[in-house]
Amino acid sequence: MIHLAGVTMKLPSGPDTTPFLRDVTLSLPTHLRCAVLGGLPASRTHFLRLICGKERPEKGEILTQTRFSIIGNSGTYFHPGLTGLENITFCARRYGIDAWSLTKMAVGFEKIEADWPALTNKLPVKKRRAMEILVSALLPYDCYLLDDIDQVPPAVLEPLFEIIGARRAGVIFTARTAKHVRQFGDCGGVIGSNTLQMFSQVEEALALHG
Amino acid sequence: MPSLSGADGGLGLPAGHGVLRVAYTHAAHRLTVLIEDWLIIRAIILRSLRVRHSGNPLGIFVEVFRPIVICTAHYFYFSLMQRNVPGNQFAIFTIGGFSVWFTFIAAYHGAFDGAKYPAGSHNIPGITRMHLRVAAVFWAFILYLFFANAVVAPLQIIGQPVTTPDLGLSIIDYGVAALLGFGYGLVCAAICQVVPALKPVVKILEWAVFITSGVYDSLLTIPIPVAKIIQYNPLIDLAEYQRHAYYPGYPIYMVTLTYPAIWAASLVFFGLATNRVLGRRR
Repeated sequence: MIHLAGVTMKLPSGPDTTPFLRDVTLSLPTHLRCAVLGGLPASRTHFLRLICGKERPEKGEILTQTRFSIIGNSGTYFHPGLTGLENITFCARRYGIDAWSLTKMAVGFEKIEADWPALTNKLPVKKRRAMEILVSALLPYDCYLLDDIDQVPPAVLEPLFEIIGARRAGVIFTARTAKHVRQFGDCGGVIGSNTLQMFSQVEEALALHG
Repeated sequence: MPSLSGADGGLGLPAGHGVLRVAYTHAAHRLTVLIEDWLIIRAIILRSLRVRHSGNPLGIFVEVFRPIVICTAHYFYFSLMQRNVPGNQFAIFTIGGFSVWFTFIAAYHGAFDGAKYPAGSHNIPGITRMHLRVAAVFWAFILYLFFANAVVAPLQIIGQPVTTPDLGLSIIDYGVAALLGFGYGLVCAAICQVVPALKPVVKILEWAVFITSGVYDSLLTIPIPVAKIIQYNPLIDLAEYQRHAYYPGYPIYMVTLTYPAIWAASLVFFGLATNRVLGRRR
Protein backbone atom coordinates (compact mmCIF):
# COMPACT_ATOMS: atom_id res chain seq x y z
CA MET A 1 0.00 0.00 0.00
CA ILE A 2 0.98 3.60 -0.44
CA HIS A 3 -0.37 6.12 2.02
CA LEU A 4 -0.90 9.78 1.18
CA ALA A 5 -1.23 11.90 4.32
CA GLY A 6 -2.53 15.44 3.80
CA VAL A 7 -0.83 15.70 0.41
CA THR A 8 -1.02 18.92 -1.58
CA MET A 9 0.55 18.91 -5.03
CA LYS A 10 0.61 21.25 -7.99
CA LEU A 11 2.25 21.13 -11.39
CA PRO A 12 5.69 22.73 -11.41
CA SER A 13 4.95 24.84 -14.48
CA GLY A 14 2.29 25.53 -17.10
CA PRO A 15 -0.88 27.59 -17.21
CA ASP A 16 -2.59 25.75 -14.33
CA THR A 17 -0.70 26.47 -11.13
CA THR A 18 -3.53 25.64 -8.74
CA PRO A 19 -2.96 22.37 -6.85
CA PHE A 20 -4.47 19.34 -8.53
CA LEU A 21 -4.40 17.61 -5.15
CA ARG A 22 -5.22 19.55 -2.00
CA ASP A 23 -4.89 18.00 1.44
CA VAL A 24 -5.56 14.48 0.15
CA THR A 25 -5.39 11.61 2.64
CA LEU A 26 -5.91 8.09 1.31
CA SER A 27 -4.31 4.69 0.84
CA LEU A 28 -3.69 3.32 -2.61
CA PRO A 29 -3.39 -0.44 -3.20
CA THR A 30 -0.07 -1.38 -4.79
CA HIS A 31 -0.85 -5.09 -5.20
CA LEU A 32 -3.82 -4.54 -7.57
CA ARG A 33 -4.21 -3.12 -11.07
CA CYS A 34 -5.23 0.39 -10.33
CA ALA A 35 -6.31 2.86 -13.01
CA VAL A 36 -6.01 6.61 -12.52
CA LEU A 37 -8.28 8.82 -14.61
CA GLY A 38 -9.19 12.47 -14.87
CA GLY A 39 -7.25 15.69 -14.53
CA LEU A 40 -4.75 17.02 -17.03
CA PRO A 41 -2.36 14.51 -18.65
CA ALA A 42 0.52 16.33 -16.95
CA SER A 43 -1.11 16.04 -13.54
CA ARG A 44 -1.59 12.28 -13.98
CA THR A 45 2.10 11.92 -14.91
CA HIS A 46 3.03 14.12 -11.98
CA PHE A 47 0.93 11.96 -9.69
CA LEU A 48 2.92 8.89 -10.76
CA ARG A 49 6.19 10.76 -10.16
CA LEU A 50 4.87 11.74 -6.75
CA ILE A 51 4.07 8.22 -5.61
CA CYS A 52 7.35 6.76 -6.81
CA GLY A 53 9.24 9.42 -4.86
CA LYS A 54 10.68 11.38 -7.78
CA GLU A 55 8.68 14.45 -6.77
CA ARG A 56 7.99 15.81 -3.32
CA PRO A 57 4.55 17.05 -2.30
CA GLU A 58 4.10 20.73 -1.56
CA LYS A 59 2.60 19.65 1.73
CA GLY A 60 1.99 16.36 3.49
CA GLU A 61 3.74 13.02 3.55
CA ILE A 62 3.84 9.91 1.41
CA LEU A 63 4.50 6.67 3.23
CA THR A 64 5.31 3.39 1.55
CA GLN A 65 7.61 0.38 1.63
CA THR A 66 6.75 -0.54 -1.96
CA ARG A 67 9.49 -0.73 -4.58
CA PHE A 68 8.15 1.04 -7.65
CA SER A 69 9.33 0.51 -11.18
CA ILE A 70 10.26 3.28 -13.61
CA ILE A 71 7.27 5.11 -15.06
CA GLY A 72 6.67 3.13 -18.23
CA ASN A 73 5.85 4.98 -21.45
CA SER A 74 7.35 8.25 -20.27
CA GLY A 75 10.15 7.86 -22.80
CA THR A 76 12.80 9.36 -20.56
CA TYR A 77 14.77 6.38 -19.31
CA PHE A 78 16.59 5.03 -22.33
CA HIS A 79 19.26 7.38 -23.58
CA PRO A 80 18.38 8.40 -27.17
CA GLY A 81 22.08 8.56 -28.07
CA LEU A 82 22.65 4.91 -27.20
CA THR A 83 21.55 1.74 -28.93
CA GLY A 84 18.87 -0.53 -27.52
CA LEU A 85 21.49 -3.03 -26.36
CA GLU A 86 23.55 -0.36 -24.60
CA ASN A 87 20.48 0.91 -22.78
CA ILE A 88 19.51 -2.59 -21.69
CA THR A 89 23.08 -3.18 -20.51
CA PHE A 90 22.87 -0.02 -18.38
CA CYS A 91 19.66 -1.27 -16.72
CA ALA A 92 21.25 -4.68 -16.11
CA ARG A 93 24.39 -3.13 -14.60
CA ARG A 94 22.33 -0.91 -12.34
CA TYR A 95 20.78 -4.02 -10.75
CA GLY A 96 23.95 -6.10 -10.91
CA ILE A 97 22.38 -8.69 -13.20
CA ASP A 98 23.71 -10.29 -16.34
CA ALA A 99 23.14 -7.95 -19.29
CA TRP A 100 23.12 -10.84 -21.75
CA SER A 101 20.27 -12.64 -19.94
CA LEU A 102 18.21 -9.46 -19.66
CA THR A 103 18.69 -8.74 -23.37
CA LYS A 104 17.71 -12.28 -24.31
CA MET A 105 14.56 -12.00 -22.22
CA ALA A 106 13.74 -8.57 -23.67
CA VAL A 107 13.99 -9.75 -27.25
CA GLY A 108 12.21 -12.99 -26.39
CA PHE A 109 8.82 -11.42 -26.93
CA GLU A 110 7.91 -12.34 -30.47
CA LYS A 111 5.05 -9.89 -30.69
CA ILE A 112 7.30 -6.88 -30.09
CA GLU A 113 9.41 -7.43 -33.18
CA ALA A 114 12.44 -6.30 -31.19
CA ASP A 115 14.84 -8.05 -33.50
CA TRP A 116 18.60 -8.03 -32.91
CA PRO A 117 19.52 -5.70 -35.78
CA ALA A 118 17.08 -3.11 -34.45
CA LEU A 119 18.54 -3.33 -30.97
CA THR A 120 22.07 -2.72 -32.17
CA ASN A 121 20.98 0.66 -33.54
CA LYS A 122 19.57 3.74 -31.88
CA LEU A 123 15.89 2.98 -31.43
CA PRO A 124 13.14 5.22 -32.78
CA VAL A 125 10.98 6.84 -30.10
CA LYS A 126 8.12 4.33 -30.29
CA LYS A 127 10.34 1.28 -30.08
CA ARG A 128 12.41 2.86 -27.35
CA ARG A 129 9.32 3.40 -25.24
CA ALA A 130 8.11 -0.16 -25.85
CA MET A 131 11.51 -1.54 -24.90
CA GLU A 132 11.60 0.62 -21.76
CA ILE A 133 8.29 -0.84 -20.64
CA LEU A 134 9.35 -4.41 -21.31
CA VAL A 135 12.74 -4.10 -19.67
CA SER A 136 11.16 -2.56 -16.58
CA ALA A 137 8.66 -5.46 -16.50
CA LEU A 138 11.55 -7.92 -16.46
CA LEU A 139 13.11 -6.28 -13.40
CA PRO A 140 11.78 -7.18 -9.95
CA TYR A 141 9.52 -4.51 -8.45
CA ASP A 142 6.50 -4.68 -6.15
CA CYS A 143 4.43 -2.30 -8.22
CA TYR A 144 4.75 -1.17 -11.84
CA LEU A 145 3.85 2.29 -13.05
CA LEU A 146 2.57 2.97 -16.52
CA ASP A 147 1.72 6.39 -17.91
CA ASP A 148 -0.95 6.97 -20.56
CA ILE A 149 -1.78 3.34 -21.27
CA ASP A 150 -3.81 4.35 -24.34
CA GLN A 151 -0.59 5.24 -26.15
CA VAL A 152 1.03 1.84 -25.52
CA PRO A 153 0.75 -0.63 -28.42
CA PRO A 154 -1.46 -3.67 -27.57
CA ALA A 155 1.42 -5.95 -28.52
CA VAL A 156 3.36 -4.53 -25.57
CA LEU A 157 0.48 -4.40 -23.12
CA GLU A 158 -0.37 -8.11 -23.39
CA PRO A 159 3.08 -9.49 -22.45
CA LEU A 160 3.47 -6.72 -19.87
CA PHE A 161 0.36 -7.66 -17.92
CA GLU A 162 1.20 -11.35 -18.41
CA ILE A 163 4.58 -10.91 -16.71
CA ILE A 164 3.21 -8.69 -13.95
CA GLY A 165 0.35 -11.12 -13.32
CA ALA A 166 2.76 -14.04 -13.07
CA ARG A 167 4.84 -12.06 -10.58
CA ARG A 168 1.72 -11.16 -8.56
CA ALA A 169 2.83 -7.55 -8.54
CA GLY A 170 0.56 -4.54 -8.76
CA VAL A 171 0.20 -1.91 -11.47
CA ILE A 172 -0.81 1.72 -11.25
CA PHE A 173 -1.57 3.12 -14.67
CA THR A 174 -3.04 6.33 -15.98
CA ALA A 175 -5.60 6.32 -18.77
CA ARG A 176 -7.73 8.70 -20.76
CA THR A 177 -10.34 6.33 -22.17
CA ALA A 178 -12.49 3.55 -20.75
CA LYS A 179 -11.25 0.75 -23.02
CA HIS A 180 -8.01 -0.15 -21.25
CA VAL A 181 -9.39 0.67 -17.82
CA ARG A 182 -12.08 -1.98 -18.29
CA GLN A 183 -9.63 -4.44 -19.85
CA PHE A 184 -6.83 -4.21 -17.29
CA GLY A 185 -8.10 -2.41 -14.17
CA ASP A 186 -9.19 -3.97 -10.87
CA CYS A 187 -9.93 -0.67 -9.19
CA GLY A 188 -9.87 2.97 -10.20
CA GLY A 189 -9.27 6.50 -9.03
CA VAL A 190 -10.32 9.82 -10.49
CA ILE A 191 -8.38 13.06 -10.16
CA GLY A 192 -10.68 16.09 -10.07
CA SER A 193 -11.83 18.97 -7.90
CA ASN A 194 -8.41 19.05 -6.17
CA THR A 195 -8.76 15.51 -4.90
CA LEU A 196 -8.32 11.87 -5.84
CA GLN A 197 -11.36 9.66 -5.34
CA MET A 198 -10.76 5.92 -5.19
CA PHE A 199 -13.28 3.21 -6.16
CA SER A 200 -13.07 -0.53 -5.67
CA GLN A 201 -14.84 -1.05 -9.03
CA VAL A 202 -13.57 0.50 -12.24
CA GLU A 203 -17.12 1.07 -13.46
CA GLU A 204 -17.75 3.44 -10.55
CA ALA A 205 -14.61 5.37 -11.42
CA LEU A 206 -15.62 5.48 -15.08
CA ALA A 207 -19.09 6.70 -14.14
CA LEU A 208 -17.60 9.61 -12.19
CA HIS A 209 -15.08 10.33 -14.92
CA GLY A 210 -17.87 10.41 -17.49
CA MET B 1 19.69 -24.44 8.88
CA PRO B 2 18.47 -21.49 10.96
CA SER B 3 14.82 -20.69 10.75
CA LEU B 4 13.71 -17.22 9.76
CA SER B 5 10.89 -17.42 12.25
CA GLY B 6 13.18 -18.44 15.12
CA ALA B 7 13.89 -16.35 18.19
CA ASP B 8 17.16 -15.19 16.67
CA GLY B 9 15.47 -13.94 13.53
CA GLY B 10 17.14 -16.63 11.46
CA LEU B 11 20.65 -15.32 12.03
CA GLY B 12 21.91 -18.34 13.96
CA LEU B 13 22.96 -16.23 16.95
CA PRO B 14 22.79 -17.48 20.54
CA ALA B 15 19.71 -16.50 22.52
CA GLY B 16 19.87 -13.21 24.43
CA HIS B 17 22.06 -11.42 21.92
CA GLY B 18 19.54 -8.78 20.94
CA VAL B 19 22.07 -5.97 20.59
CA LEU B 20 24.33 -8.15 18.48
CA ARG B 21 21.38 -9.08 16.28
CA VAL B 22 20.46 -5.45 15.73
CA ALA B 23 24.09 -4.59 14.94
CA TYR B 24 24.35 -7.53 12.55
CA THR B 25 21.13 -6.57 10.74
CA HIS B 26 22.22 -2.95 10.56
CA ALA B 27 25.65 -3.89 9.18
CA ALA B 28 24.08 -6.24 6.62
CA HIS B 29 21.70 -3.49 5.53
CA ARG B 30 24.54 -0.95 5.20
CA LEU B 31 26.53 -3.44 3.15
CA THR B 32 23.56 -4.03 0.83
CA VAL B 33 23.14 -0.27 0.36
CA LEU B 34 26.87 0.15 -0.34
CA ILE B 35 26.85 -2.64 -2.92
CA GLU B 36 23.81 -1.13 -4.61
CA ASP B 37 25.44 2.32 -4.66
CA TRP B 38 28.57 0.84 -6.16
CA LEU B 39 26.52 -0.91 -8.90
CA ILE B 40 24.76 2.35 -9.70
CA ILE B 41 27.98 4.39 -9.85
CA ARG B 42 29.68 1.78 -12.03
CA ALA B 43 26.69 1.69 -14.40
CA ILE B 44 26.59 5.51 -14.63
CA ILE B 45 30.33 5.79 -15.34
CA LEU B 46 30.19 3.18 -18.08
CA ARG B 47 27.09 4.71 -19.63
CA SER B 48 28.46 8.25 -19.63
CA LEU B 49 31.70 7.02 -21.23
CA ARG B 50 29.68 5.23 -23.88
CA VAL B 51 27.56 8.35 -24.53
CA ARG B 52 30.60 10.65 -24.75
CA HIS B 53 32.78 8.47 -26.97
CA SER B 54 30.43 6.21 -28.93
CA GLY B 55 31.12 7.96 -32.25
CA ASN B 56 34.82 8.55 -31.70
CA PRO B 57 37.41 6.27 -33.35
CA LEU B 58 39.83 6.82 -30.46
CA GLY B 59 37.14 5.86 -27.97
CA ILE B 60 37.96 6.24 -24.30
CA PHE B 61 41.58 7.32 -25.01
CA VAL B 62 40.25 10.76 -25.90
CA GLU B 63 39.93 11.25 -22.13
CA VAL B 64 43.73 11.24 -21.72
CA PHE B 65 44.42 13.05 -24.99
CA ARG B 66 43.79 16.52 -23.56
CA PRO B 67 46.00 16.06 -20.46
CA ILE B 68 48.78 14.65 -22.64
CA VAL B 69 48.66 17.67 -24.97
CA ILE B 70 48.58 20.18 -22.10
CA CYS B 71 51.39 18.44 -20.18
CA THR B 72 53.58 18.18 -23.31
CA ALA B 73 53.10 21.86 -24.14
CA HIS B 74 53.95 22.90 -20.58
CA TYR B 75 56.93 20.55 -20.40
CA PHE B 76 58.47 22.28 -23.42
CA TYR B 77 57.57 25.68 -22.03
CA PHE B 78 59.20 24.95 -18.65
CA SER B 79 62.32 23.36 -20.14
CA LEU B 80 62.86 25.90 -22.92
CA MET B 81 62.29 28.86 -20.63
CA GLN B 82 64.52 27.17 -18.01
CA ARG B 83 61.98 27.82 -15.27
CA ASN B 84 63.24 27.53 -11.74
CA VAL B 85 62.13 23.99 -10.93
CA PRO B 86 63.53 21.94 -8.00
CA GLY B 87 66.20 19.57 -9.35
CA ASN B 88 65.38 20.63 -12.92
CA GLN B 89 62.92 17.72 -13.04
CA PHE B 90 60.71 19.31 -15.66
CA ALA B 91 58.71 16.21 -16.61
CA ILE B 92 57.93 15.29 -13.00
CA PHE B 93 57.15 18.89 -12.14
CA THR B 94 54.70 19.23 -15.04
CA ILE B 95 52.91 15.89 -14.72
CA GLY B 96 52.77 15.94 -10.91
CA GLY B 97 51.25 19.42 -10.85
CA PHE B 98 48.84 19.11 -13.74
CA SER B 99 47.52 15.62 -12.93
CA VAL B 100 46.53 16.82 -9.43
CA TRP B 101 44.93 19.93 -10.91
CA PHE B 102 43.03 17.87 -13.52
CA THR B 103 41.73 15.52 -10.81
CA PHE B 104 40.56 18.46 -8.73
CA ILE B 105 38.91 20.37 -11.57
CA ALA B 106 37.21 17.27 -13.05
CA ALA B 107 35.84 16.39 -9.61
CA TYR B 108 34.78 20.02 -9.11
CA HIS B 109 32.85 20.08 -12.39
CA GLY B 110 31.39 16.65 -11.61
CA ALA B 111 30.02 17.93 -8.30
CA PHE B 112 29.05 21.35 -9.65
CA ASP B 113 27.20 20.36 -12.80
CA GLY B 114 27.49 16.56 -13.04
CA ALA B 115 23.79 16.26 -12.27
CA LYS B 116 22.62 18.95 -14.69
CA TYR B 117 22.11 16.64 -17.67
CA PRO B 118 21.08 13.27 -16.23
CA ALA B 119 19.52 12.08 -19.53
CA GLY B 120 16.82 10.17 -17.72
CA SER B 121 19.09 8.10 -15.52
CA HIS B 122 18.01 9.89 -12.33
CA ASN B 123 14.44 8.76 -13.03
CA ILE B 124 15.42 5.11 -12.65
CA PRO B 125 14.50 3.86 -9.16
CA GLY B 126 17.38 4.17 -6.73
CA ILE B 127 19.44 6.55 -8.86
CA THR B 128 19.75 10.05 -7.47
CA ARG B 129 21.52 13.17 -8.71
CA MET B 130 24.12 12.61 -6.02
CA HIS B 131 24.97 9.28 -7.65
CA LEU B 132 25.66 11.16 -10.89
CA ARG B 133 27.94 13.58 -9.06
CA VAL B 134 29.80 10.86 -7.20
CA ALA B 135 30.21 8.89 -10.44
CA ALA B 136 31.85 11.90 -12.11
CA VAL B 137 34.17 12.39 -9.13
CA PHE B 138 35.09 8.72 -8.95
CA TRP B 139 35.85 8.67 -12.67
CA ALA B 140 38.13 11.73 -12.28
CA PHE B 141 40.05 9.91 -9.54
CA ILE B 142 40.42 6.67 -11.53
CA LEU B 143 41.30 8.43 -14.79
CA TYR B 144 44.08 10.64 -13.45
CA LEU B 145 45.49 7.93 -11.20
CA PHE B 146 45.73 5.81 -14.34
CA PHE B 147 47.17 8.73 -16.32
CA ALA B 148 49.85 9.43 -13.70
CA ASN B 149 51.03 5.82 -13.85
CA ALA B 150 50.60 5.30 -17.58
CA VAL B 151 52.79 8.25 -18.62
CA VAL B 152 55.83 6.78 -16.87
CA ALA B 153 56.66 4.18 -19.54
CA PRO B 154 56.64 6.59 -22.54
CA LEU B 155 58.72 9.11 -20.55
CA GLN B 156 61.28 6.44 -19.69
CA ILE B 157 61.45 5.43 -23.36
CA ILE B 158 62.37 8.98 -24.40
CA GLY B 159 65.04 9.06 -21.70
CA GLN B 160 63.40 11.07 -18.93
CA PRO B 161 64.61 10.25 -15.38
CA VAL B 162 61.13 9.22 -14.19
CA THR B 163 60.37 6.28 -11.92
CA THR B 164 57.03 4.57 -11.29
CA PRO B 165 55.25 6.71 -8.69
CA ASP B 166 54.66 5.51 -5.15
CA LEU B 167 51.21 3.99 -5.63
CA GLY B 168 50.03 4.38 -2.03
CA LEU B 169 51.00 8.04 -1.92
CA SER B 170 49.46 8.63 -5.36
CA ILE B 171 46.15 7.06 -4.28
CA ILE B 172 46.05 9.30 -1.19
CA ASP B 173 47.06 12.32 -3.26
CA TYR B 174 44.48 11.93 -6.02
CA GLY B 175 41.86 10.78 -3.53
CA VAL B 176 42.24 13.95 -1.50
CA ALA B 177 42.31 16.07 -4.70
CA ALA B 178 39.07 14.40 -5.87
CA LEU B 179 37.42 14.95 -2.47
CA LEU B 180 38.56 18.57 -2.44
CA GLY B 181 37.02 19.08 -5.87
CA PHE B 182 33.84 17.29 -4.83
CA GLY B 183 33.39 19.33 -1.65
CA TYR B 184 34.30 22.60 -3.34
CA GLY B 185 31.92 21.85 -6.22
CA LEU B 186 29.04 21.09 -3.86
CA VAL B 187 29.65 24.29 -1.89
CA CYS B 188 29.88 26.39 -5.07
CA ALA B 189 26.72 24.76 -6.47
CA ALA B 190 24.88 25.59 -3.24
CA ILE B 191 26.15 29.19 -3.29
CA CYS B 192 25.06 29.62 -6.93
CA GLN B 193 21.67 28.10 -6.17
CA VAL B 194 21.03 30.49 -3.28
CA VAL B 195 22.56 33.58 -4.95
CA PRO B 196 22.69 33.09 -8.76
CA ALA B 197 24.38 36.49 -9.13
CA LEU B 198 27.54 35.01 -7.59
CA LYS B 199 28.21 32.71 -10.58
CA PRO B 200 30.86 35.05 -12.09
CA VAL B 201 32.60 35.27 -8.71
CA VAL B 202 32.74 31.47 -8.55
CA LYS B 203 34.28 31.45 -12.04
CA ILE B 204 36.94 33.99 -11.00
CA LEU B 205 37.69 31.94 -7.88
CA GLU B 206 38.21 28.87 -10.08
CA TRP B 207 40.85 30.81 -12.02
CA ALA B 208 42.50 32.03 -8.80
CA VAL B 209 42.64 28.47 -7.45
CA PHE B 210 44.29 27.35 -10.71
CA ILE B 211 46.96 30.07 -10.65
CA THR B 212 47.89 29.28 -7.04
CA SER B 213 47.60 25.49 -7.32
CA GLY B 214 51.28 24.90 -7.85
CA VAL B 215 51.15 23.84 -11.49
CA TYR B 216 53.49 26.70 -12.45
CA ASP B 217 55.45 27.16 -9.25
CA SER B 218 56.90 25.32 -6.32
CA LEU B 219 56.85 26.83 -2.83
CA LEU B 220 60.63 26.45 -2.78
CA THR B 221 61.36 28.48 -5.87
CA ILE B 222 59.12 31.52 -5.53
CA PRO B 223 59.68 34.68 -3.46
CA ILE B 224 58.74 34.23 0.17
CA PRO B 225 55.94 36.89 0.19
CA VAL B 226 54.24 35.05 -2.71
CA ALA B 227 54.82 31.66 -1.11
CA LYS B 228 53.19 32.94 2.08
CA ILE B 229 50.03 33.63 0.10
CA ILE B 230 49.79 30.60 -2.14
CA GLN B 231 50.66 28.15 0.62
CA TYR B 232 47.02 28.54 1.73
CA ASN B 233 45.88 26.73 -1.41
CA PRO B 234 45.68 23.05 -0.40
CA LEU B 235 46.30 21.93 -3.98
CA ILE B 236 49.93 23.07 -3.87
CA ASP B 237 50.58 20.57 -1.05
CA LEU B 238 49.06 17.79 -3.16
CA ALA B 239 51.02 18.79 -6.27
CA GLU B 240 54.31 18.80 -4.34
CA TYR B 241 53.52 15.42 -2.77
CA GLN B 242 52.70 13.93 -6.15
CA ARG B 243 56.05 15.16 -7.50
CA HIS B 244 57.63 13.55 -4.47
CA ALA B 245 55.76 10.33 -5.26
CA TYR B 246 57.45 10.31 -8.70
CA TYR B 247 60.89 11.22 -7.41
CA PRO B 248 61.67 10.48 -3.74
CA GLY B 249 64.37 13.17 -3.78
CA TYR B 250 61.87 15.95 -4.51
CA PRO B 251 61.79 18.28 -1.48
CA ILE B 252 58.52 18.40 0.49
CA TYR B 253 59.58 20.01 3.74
CA MET B 254 57.27 23.01 3.36
CA VAL B 255 54.07 21.04 2.65
CA THR B 256 51.88 18.52 4.43
CA LEU B 257 49.06 16.15 3.50
CA THR B 258 47.08 16.92 6.66
CA TYR B 259 46.22 20.45 5.55
CA PRO B 260 44.49 19.46 2.25
CA ALA B 261 42.88 16.46 3.98
CA ILE B 262 41.29 18.77 6.58
CA TRP B 263 40.12 21.10 3.82
CA ALA B 264 38.67 18.15 1.88
CA ALA B 265 36.82 16.72 4.89
CA SER B 266 35.41 20.13 5.85
CA LEU B 267 34.30 21.01 2.32
CA VAL B 268 32.69 17.60 1.75
CA PHE B 269 30.85 17.79 5.07
CA PHE B 270 29.67 21.36 4.49
CA GLY B 271 28.81 20.65 0.84
CA LEU B 272 26.74 17.56 1.65
CA ALA B 273 24.97 19.36 4.50
CA THR B 274 24.02 22.36 2.34
CA ASN B 275 23.00 20.05 -0.50
CA ARG B 276 20.65 18.21 1.86
CA VAL B 277 19.15 21.41 3.28
CA LEU B 278 18.65 22.94 -0.19
CA GLY B 279 17.25 19.65 -1.51
CA ARG B 280 14.60 19.71 1.22
CA ARG B 281 13.78 23.34 0.54
CA ARG B 282 13.35 22.61 -3.19
